[in-house]
Amino acid sequence: MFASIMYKEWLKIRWTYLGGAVLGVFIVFEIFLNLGQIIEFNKANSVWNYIIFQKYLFYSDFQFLPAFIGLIVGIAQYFPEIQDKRLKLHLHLPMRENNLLLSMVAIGTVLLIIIYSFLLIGLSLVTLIYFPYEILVSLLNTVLPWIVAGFVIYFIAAALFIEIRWARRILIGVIAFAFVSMFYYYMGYDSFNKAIPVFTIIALSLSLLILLSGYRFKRGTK
Amino acid sequence: MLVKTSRNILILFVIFVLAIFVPDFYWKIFEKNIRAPFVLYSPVIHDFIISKFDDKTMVRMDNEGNLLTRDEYEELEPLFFYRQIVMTGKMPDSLDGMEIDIQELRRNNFSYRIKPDAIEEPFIQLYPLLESKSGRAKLEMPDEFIRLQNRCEFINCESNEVVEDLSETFSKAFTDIGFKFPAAKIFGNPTTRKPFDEGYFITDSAGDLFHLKRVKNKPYLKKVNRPNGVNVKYIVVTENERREFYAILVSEASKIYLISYNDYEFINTPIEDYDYRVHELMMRGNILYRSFTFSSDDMIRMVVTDREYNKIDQYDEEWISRENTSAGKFSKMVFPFTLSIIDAKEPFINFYFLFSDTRALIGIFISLIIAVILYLRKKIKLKFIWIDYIVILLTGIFGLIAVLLVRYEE
Amino acid sequence: MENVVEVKNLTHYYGKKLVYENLNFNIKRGSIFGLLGKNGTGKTTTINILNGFLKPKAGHCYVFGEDSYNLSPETKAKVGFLIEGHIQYSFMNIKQIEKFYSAFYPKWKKEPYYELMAKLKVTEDQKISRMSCGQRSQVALGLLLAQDSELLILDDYSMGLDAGYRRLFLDYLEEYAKSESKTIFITSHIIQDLEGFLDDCVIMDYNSVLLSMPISEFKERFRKYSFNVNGDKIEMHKDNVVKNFEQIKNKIVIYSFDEIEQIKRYLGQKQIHFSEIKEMPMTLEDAFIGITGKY
Repeated sequence: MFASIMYKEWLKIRWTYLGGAVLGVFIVFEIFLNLGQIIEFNKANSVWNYIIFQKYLFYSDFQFLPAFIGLIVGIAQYFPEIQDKRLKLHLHLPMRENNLLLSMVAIGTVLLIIIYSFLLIGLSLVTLIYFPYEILVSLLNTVLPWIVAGFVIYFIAAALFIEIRWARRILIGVIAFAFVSMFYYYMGYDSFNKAIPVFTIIALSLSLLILLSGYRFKRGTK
Repeated sequence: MLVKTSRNILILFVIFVLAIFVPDFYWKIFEKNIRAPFVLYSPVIHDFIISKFDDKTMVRMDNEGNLLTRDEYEELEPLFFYRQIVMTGKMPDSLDGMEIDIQELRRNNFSYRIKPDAIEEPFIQLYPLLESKSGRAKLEMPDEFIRLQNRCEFINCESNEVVEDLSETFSKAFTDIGFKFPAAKIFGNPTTRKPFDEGYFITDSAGDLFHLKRVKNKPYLKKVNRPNGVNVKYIVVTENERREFYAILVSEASKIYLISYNDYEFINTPIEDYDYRVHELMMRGNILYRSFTFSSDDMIRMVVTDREYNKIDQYDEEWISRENTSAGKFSKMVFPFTLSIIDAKEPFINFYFLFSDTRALIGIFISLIIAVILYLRKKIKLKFIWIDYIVILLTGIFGLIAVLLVRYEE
Repeated sequence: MENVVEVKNLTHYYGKKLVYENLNFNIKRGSIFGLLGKNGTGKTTTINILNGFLKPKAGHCYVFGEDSYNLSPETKAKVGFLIEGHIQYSFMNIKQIEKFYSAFYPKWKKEPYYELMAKLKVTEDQKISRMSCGQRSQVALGLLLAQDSELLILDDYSMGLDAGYRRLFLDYLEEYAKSESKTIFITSHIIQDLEGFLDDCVIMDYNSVLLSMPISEFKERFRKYSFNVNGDKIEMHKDNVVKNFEQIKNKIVIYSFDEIEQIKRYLGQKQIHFSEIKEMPMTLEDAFIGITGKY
């Protein structure tokens, strides 16, 4: 049954997902080309110096990519469910409601893990062409909060779409916006190294928010 | 059960965000600008002169509190305001019996600042080792960066590959002198915009301090003998043309030393009560004196010494910190705690809690009463909402707002 | 006979607006039950409660003996559900949707589904979203047949369908119900299609139940009378005898379950001076409109 839910979710998401992947590959490729150009037009040592001591992020174009992918995957997956209250069909499937809802989130999460890993591998390869592993490590440390933000936006999209009341949607939206904005607070690379475990735990706990929205959908849909 | 968990997560999430943003908004509205006074030591009257903001206007005064005009004020510190004083032609011929030569005066003025957030600031551990005797007038960025992990590795920036011969020569020097890899901390100024290069001061994994330079592509590596009990916390390499001291060193115990050009001798400074975790330190020097100023958000201290670092005088001032203004006291009642992800004294984003004290009970009590009244009016059974009361008990107004926004579900 | 669905004292409000109070009915195993009424009388509300998509303010609703708000997966597997407007996963095509649902239902039979699909003029990779309303209804029906559930709950199967598709839909249902002795719960605002199809029905009005009986009985007993009155002002009221009435100038039409003699006695008691009283012939649709009113 889970495989079948996976099939349905995939049918909903696939084009958006592949679109996100294409965009991601494009952005990683663009970072690669930019880097090549910067190194071509400046001396490599001054580029290193600029990156290490001026804290220039050559990968800053990547910043909003995970969030954007999380958002569009969330929309693609949950918007069709609330059109015509179609979620009723899903909840009517012969499984426990909470399991049905969490299955959806789990599938989206796994797909995001795959696409983010894939893009990070790409970004890592690009980095290692030009720089030693120290710079890659700091890149990963710095990109991680953006990735976590992608999951947050995805989980919030799930809770937001499934929610039936606008007042609650606005509440979740505003709080989540404030929360996500923290992930883009930038004080130089590695500045999230201490906070990221807690941020990650908070982000993961948000995956359960869909259950409250789902409960409210079930209890009060008209 | 899971649905309840889901609601509790949402409540905690709302509280988390409120505890960050509500106090932030509160202070955006009520915060008064409190700026530390600016203190100088006048070589004319041998006393401190102060300028500070009284609301929005700059007030200048001497240490007795007599107001000074701007001209009077600047004329009392001709070494600091020498450009202005030279322009108005008021520069005295001599001060403290020393003849004033503008060139000398300018050459002897210096200042260094150590901010608490700079001390732990993360850097990628790759450093350009400049050639300090290139024979060129200007410094140049080297083609390699060094890595001090298992050995001293030179990595060519262009090829991103290790340069073996250089790495071997330098690594050998490191092992010969007893350096324990990997390096713990590396201090220096990786820039070409300085008059000359003194390389890096490096602590090894055993805590010992070394001085590394690249001289004609060969290692210059000296072990710096530390006085007993002085462990390095932070070093500012000065690279000042007077070549009096290589560096300012802050020890783990928050003592300030200068590493002299005279065989790396540690010069003690008479600075007490400085704490690198909270204070911003400013060291100034001129042709006559040295001064060390450190300040936090409610105090400033300035210690003036002669050029041999013997204490001459000390200035202390305290003022009401933000926390102790009326808005601050009120906030202690309203917010049982506040949370910020940034702290001016820290280089990392983290969760900086600031807890209130017993005053918080007032706000918690009022929040609880409001919740009880609202819940009683709606005739909601305690078994649905006992957890709400606990949340309010622990988080006060944040909890109240959160449980009202995220209503209980039957 | 065992009841598959039991509705007891069901009461629901939307905010302060009452939908109905103390609704009661049972659906016997193997019967076809209709919940009829104009739009807005609470048919979909009842369906939602029955499927656990709404928590009623008071009362209970049991499906296979379980509280409908907390149906177990096993019970959900025994219930086929048609959402108002034949809503299905419109981003899937015929094959995909069959493949999707088949995994959930152990008794899944794909033959009836594909038989039905073969009659539609659609291609296998055509998305449901690009089908006509009638075609979509057949997809939804085919899935219900394939699911082979014991109880079918159909919310307004007729919505958006022209007469042909409505007929087709019912023909399949009837055959299905008869051969497999399934229980069907159906709501509609069009009664005439259901003549001879329903075993039991409840007709709802805003806030109340108008009647609860088999359709044949309703058709048999429900009467329409017309008479003239003199110029003086006459005020009619609904009561046990007069279920509904229409008054145009001095001509009055009343609907009732009573015989003409009883009506005459009733009018006499109310001291209404009438003339030319006669019973008028009615179709089932007339009767339905008669009892529910035109507004």
